[in-house]
Formats: sequence, C-alpha cells, structure tokens
Amino acid sequence: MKKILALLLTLALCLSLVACGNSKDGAAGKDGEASKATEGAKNTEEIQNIVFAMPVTKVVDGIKQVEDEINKITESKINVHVTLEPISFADYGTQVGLMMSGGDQIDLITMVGNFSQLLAKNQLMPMDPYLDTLGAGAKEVLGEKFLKATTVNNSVYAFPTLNGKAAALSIAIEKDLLDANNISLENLKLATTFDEYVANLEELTKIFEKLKAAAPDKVCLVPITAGSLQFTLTMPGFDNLGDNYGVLSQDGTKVTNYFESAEYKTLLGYVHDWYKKGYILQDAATTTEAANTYLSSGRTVGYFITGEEGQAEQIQTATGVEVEVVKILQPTLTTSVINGLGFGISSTSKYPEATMKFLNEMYTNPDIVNLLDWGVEGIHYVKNSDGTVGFPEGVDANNTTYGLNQDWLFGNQFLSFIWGEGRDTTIYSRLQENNDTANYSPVLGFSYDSTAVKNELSAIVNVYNQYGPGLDTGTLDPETELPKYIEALKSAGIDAVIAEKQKQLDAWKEANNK
Amino acid sequence: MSKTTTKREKILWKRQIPLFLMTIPGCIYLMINNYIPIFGIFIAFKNIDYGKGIFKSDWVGLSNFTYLFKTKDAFIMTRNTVLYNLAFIIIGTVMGIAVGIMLSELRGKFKSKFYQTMILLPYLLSWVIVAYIGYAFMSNDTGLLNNTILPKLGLKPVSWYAEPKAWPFILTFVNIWKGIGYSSILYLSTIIGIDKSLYEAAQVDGASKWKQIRNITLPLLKPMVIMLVIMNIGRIFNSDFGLFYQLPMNSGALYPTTQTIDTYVYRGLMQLNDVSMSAAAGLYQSVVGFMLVIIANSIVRKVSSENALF
Repeated sequence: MKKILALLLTLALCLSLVACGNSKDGAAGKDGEASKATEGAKNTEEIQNIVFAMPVTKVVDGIKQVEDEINKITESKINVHVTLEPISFADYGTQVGLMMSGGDQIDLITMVGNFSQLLAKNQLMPMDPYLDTLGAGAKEVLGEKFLKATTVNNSVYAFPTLNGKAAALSIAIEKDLLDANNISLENLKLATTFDEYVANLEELTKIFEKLKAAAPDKVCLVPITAGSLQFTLTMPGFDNLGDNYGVLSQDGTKVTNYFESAEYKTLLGYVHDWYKKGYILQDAATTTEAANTYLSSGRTVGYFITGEEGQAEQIQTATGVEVEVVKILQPTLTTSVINGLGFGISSTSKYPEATMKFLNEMYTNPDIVNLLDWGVEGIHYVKNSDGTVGFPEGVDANNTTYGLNQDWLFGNQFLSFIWGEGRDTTIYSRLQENNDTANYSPVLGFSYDSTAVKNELSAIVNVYNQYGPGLDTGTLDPETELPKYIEALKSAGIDAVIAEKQKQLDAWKEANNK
Repeated sequence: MSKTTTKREKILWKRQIPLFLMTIPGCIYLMINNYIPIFGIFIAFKNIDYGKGIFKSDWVGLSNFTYLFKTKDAFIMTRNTVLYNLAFIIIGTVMGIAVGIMLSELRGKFKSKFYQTMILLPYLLSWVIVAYIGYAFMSNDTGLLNNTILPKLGLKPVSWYAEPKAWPFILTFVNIWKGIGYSSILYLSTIIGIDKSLYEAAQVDGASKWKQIRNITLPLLKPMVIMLVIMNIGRIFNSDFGLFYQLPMNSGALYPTTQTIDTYVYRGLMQLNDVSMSAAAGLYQSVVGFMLVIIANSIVRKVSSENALF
C-alpha cells in the first residue's frame, strides 16, 4: 500500500513539475517572441508593440483585420504596432487584473466604471509627462472640464471617452397608444428643480392612468437596469459621488445620506403608488429581462431611460416599436458620469510613450476611430450617399465579422461616422453643444477612494441588495420598509463611509482651493 | 514460501496497474485545480497593488478577513449556511438511502434503468435552468402557482420572491430533488455490491423484506454513509452558489433566509472587485471545513474505528 502511495505521489509530483515547466516554457516563448519582435523593430524603425486590452460586447472574428488596418496607419505614422486583445465586458476588470499580476504585456486599459478602483490598486500610470507633447491633440479636444474628472492630486490618470455625456432621464412611451388616445406629453418639462421634477411625476401619474385605462393588459413601466426604475435614484443637481452611499448636498458642501432625505421619501411615495395601481411590472424587483424585450413583446407601453438625443430612433431600431421620448430631468455631469468610460496607461506598461501616441490618435484621427467603431471599410461597412455608413451588399447584422457597434466607447465618438442611412448627421454637433452647456457638479474632479471603508461597503452593498430593488421598483412599502432600510444601512456603517467621503472631499477642496 | 507470496504480490500488482492508470486523469485534475492554487493563499494576507506586483504588495495581516465578521449579517449568513447544510446532509442522506434501496428492489431492467435516469436528470441541469423552472412556477405575473394552482384551490396568490418564510422549504425541496439522483446511485452501487447470499440466507430463515433491509443492507451501507457524511461536513461552510443565488432570483426580500457566506461575499465584492477579500473568504471557509472534517473523523474513529476515513 505504501509503495503504491509513494508511486502515486511521485507521479503527481512529476506531473506538476511537467505542468510548471510547460507554463514556464510557454511564458519564455512568449517573451522570446515579444523581445524578438521589439528587437526586429529596433533594427528597422523602432516600432514599438503595445497591447490594447479592448472590452467587447461579443466575440468577433474581424478583430485581426481591423488590427492589421490600424497598424498600416500607426506603424508608418507614429511607429507604433498595436495588438488588440479583446476581453468581454463582464470579465474585463478581473482579466486586466490577472494580466497585470501575471506579467503579461498590457499597455492600454479601458475604464469600465472603475476609475477609482484602478487608481486605488495602482493600475494606472500618471500621464503628465506626455500630456503636453504626445497627447496634446487629445488634451485639446477633451478640454479642461473633462480632464478634471480623471485628475487626482494634480495628475491626469486617464482620458475619458468623448461622447454625448449629457444623458438625461427620459420617459419613453409607445407612440401609437399616445396618438390613439389623444394623450400628450407636452406638459413634461426638463426639470431643473425638485419641484419641477415632482410636477413631472404628477403629470406622469395622470398619463399612466389614461394609458392603463386604454391598455389594461399592459404595464406602463419596467426596469431598464435590474432592480431600479432609475427615477428614484436621481434628481436635479444630483451628484452621487461615485456610489449612492453618501451624496453631495444641494449646496455642494456636505456629504449626506440620500436614503434619509425627504426627497428620496417623496420619490419612493410615487413609485409605490404606481406599483399599487398596477402601472409597474409585478416582478419589477427581480426581473432580469431587458426592457426592450418587454416593449417589443407588448407587455409594457414604456420605461424610464437615461440617454441623450436620438433615443427614440435607437429604441425603434431595437424593438420595432415607435416610441415618443421626452427628457424630464436636467442632467448633472459629475466626476463618475464623465470618467465612467475612458482609457488609461497601465502602470506595468514598458512603452508609455507609444501608448500615449496611440491614445492621441484615438481622439484625433477619424480613420483610427472608425476602424475601431465600425471595422474595415468595404468589408464591414460602406459609406452612404448622405454621409452615414451602413452594411455593404450581402452583409448584415447576423453575418458581419465585426459589428461591435461600440462607437460610444473608443476615444472620440464625434469623429466617427453615423450608422444607418437616413439618420441625422448633425446629431454630434448637438451632443457637443449639450456637453458644453450642461450643468456640471460643483465638485467635478473629486473621485473618492473607498479602500479605507471597504469592510463597511461590502456590508452596505448587501443591505442595498436586500432593500434597494424592492423600494426603487415600488414593490416594498416605503412607510414600513424605508425606516428598516435606513436602520440597516446605519448598522452596516454608512455613517463611517459618509465621514470618510467628507474627509476626502474636504481634503480635495483644500488642495483645489475651492 | 516467501517466493510464492512475492509472486502473488507481483501478480496482484500487475492486475492493479490499469486501475492506477485510470486514476491518472483524476490526479492531474486534482493537482492542477486543487493543489497548485494552494500556493495563492498568501493573497488573502496582502493588499494587492498592481504597480508593485502581487509578490511585492504590502502584507496587511488579517484585515482582509474583518468584513466577514464586522457586519450584523455575519450571524445570519453563517447560521443559514450551517443549518441548510445540516438539513441537506440529514435529509439528503436519508432520502438517498431510501431511494437507493427502492431502486435496488426494482425488478426488470427497463424499469430500473428508466427510474434511475429520470431521478438523475435534474442533477444534470444547470442551476440557471432550474432557477427559471422555479420562476415558471412562482412568478407573480405568469407563474403556474399563482395563476392556476392556488386559485383552483381557493387560496390567495403568494408573492413567492418576497416571502422569506417559504424559502427554507423551497430550497430544501429543490436541493433534494436535484441531488437525490446522484446520491441514490452512489448508495445503489454499494447495495448492488452486497453479497446476494446474505439475502438468500436471510430469506431461508424467514426474514421479511424490512428485516433484510434493517439487518443486512443498512449495516453494510454504513461505511459509505459515514464517508459521504464526513466529506459533506467538510463543506458545511460552503454553500451551493447556484441554489442560493440563482434560484431565489437574487431577490433582496429573501435575504433573511437565503443569504449564505458565498452569496454575501459575492454581492459585497461585486462592486469592490477586491481579490484579497475574496481570497480571505475562501480561506476562512476552507480552514473551518478542514477543522470540521478532522473533528468529525476523530469522533467516528472513537465510535467505530474501522469506519474512519483516516
């Protein structure tokens, strides 16, 4: 028996050694290739190879073609070779962490709503040395306000994506139903104060009543993000300071507990009232189905959505249902709204200059932007006569080899073509104007680092998951459940989080002379 | 004399070679998946800083563990995890043995294969699918229970995903329903291996079916039962994530009865995305599980030493 055991153990050991050996060989091989590549480059034109960890919504075959086309431009223009490393959005943060800790080359990383976490884990490199030289073009198009959102301790750590940021809370309602019953949305206004916002909700109550009478087997609202109808977690001039646990007071000085505020209670009153009256989907708190599925299958007449111009067109393309969309809340551009998406240089990068050169192209060179957004011209898209682009002959959404449609992500969206013949080609100038004229948070640029309170946060997130979706979809009665929610948040340590945020806010204000 | 024994040993040894070869894939799997990663334990004691790299990151002692105990939910989630697992072990074992014996009593090849397959089928379904089967029954808008069954019985509809009291029963029922095929087949295979002459002798002596089960089947199943129970006890601090997260459709109102250590850690860290804190949770569960296995085994060794695992 012992012999057998010994044999097994030796075998296991051998195998593990083989496994280790293999992985080492593999790594060495890669390094070897990489160094060969860079050496080769040095001999010719000093072309540096950078790796762009690119988040994608789906796996596509055309990445290599796009990569080759991009390199045709970048190798001759800026001596940079880019390797596109597609990673699905769902695993993005984890994968990037693994690549960095595993010693894989990674130079350009994308922020997917995790700027402060990337910063706290020291995953981003400050850009200052290159900002006025290699990144000057990008710096100029982004402008001072946008860069503030990625500036910490006077160093810029990333470039936010440049697109229509002034996304406003809007209500989308089936147009046929509105027309057939003579219901008009003209009394809904872009609210700039809380009273106007409440007036909008009053008006919506009347509208829903008529809609419900006209279509009793449908509901009026479904959640667009799991467990929230959105309108209870925002209001005019609202800055949630990264998460909702401690938000900025209206005068911009104090960090307060939003869940204890009179405003939140008022909004919950509306949502619960609507739920009781049957305007909201019964399963709203738990459903994970997409709002568009409910709309196209005729189970709802509409939903709240946060977006910019052109929502109605997008919803119609996605669902085949013609909708009327009205913005009902003036958006506030906060740090986390602006730095939600963007690009930074990995702190492990050996080629920060090359990475910055490529980043600069992503904000200034329409050819690069359109390659990333729509693929290769002639293969993945063709230009239409009206200035928009669309699928070439014989290619459609089902058989295209690229079709990521991520024009809202890659660098400067205002340089990209507009997809879909007949679409409004002036929309970008309006989006740009909305960005410029939008309402900016008084503490724009303040990002908060939650490292010191992560124990509390993990408990608070659990409390939110327990009560939040129920309250925010109207399923739970705020009269009885809101006090429990507040109590549970307090016992999970929300006061400590608010105190920490306040401390960081005060320090930030002092450093920025505010 | 001694020559013959060594020869016999050699023959035995030769016969066993194919068996050892068969264990190789399993051993490789264990090595790669369970042993090599052990070396990552140190991550639980570090504050990961990607700029410095994992190995050079700062040591932070036990601070990554505190979030598991600091919260008021610590009691609820630990209680839920342990009690559910205890219930699953007890009910699952009893039901597994019962079904295993029933299957063994089935005569007719078609019948016994048919029932085995039918009972095993749920075990092969993914939790996501099971969760939606549950949703088809319990949904408010379209569920079978609320729209068809309860009204026919003259009962009021129940908002299942907001009713924590119902879930200890639902979870236990679904877990047993899903797992029984597998455990009953484990027991069935042991029962099939029991020497038939024992039953024949008992029949000759006039023992009833029940007496045969009580005096032959159950005592001979004991080693298998003890082994499975000890192994399950080792996982008493781990919960089946699919069961507790997918089946209740992540409904917040159900946390008092569905929150377990695994779901708490998952929900809490989804936002923080902190590798060290999740490593800490995993280590905590494993260490407690390891100690429980040792304790359970030593108790078994005291009571009936021949049945102890080690």
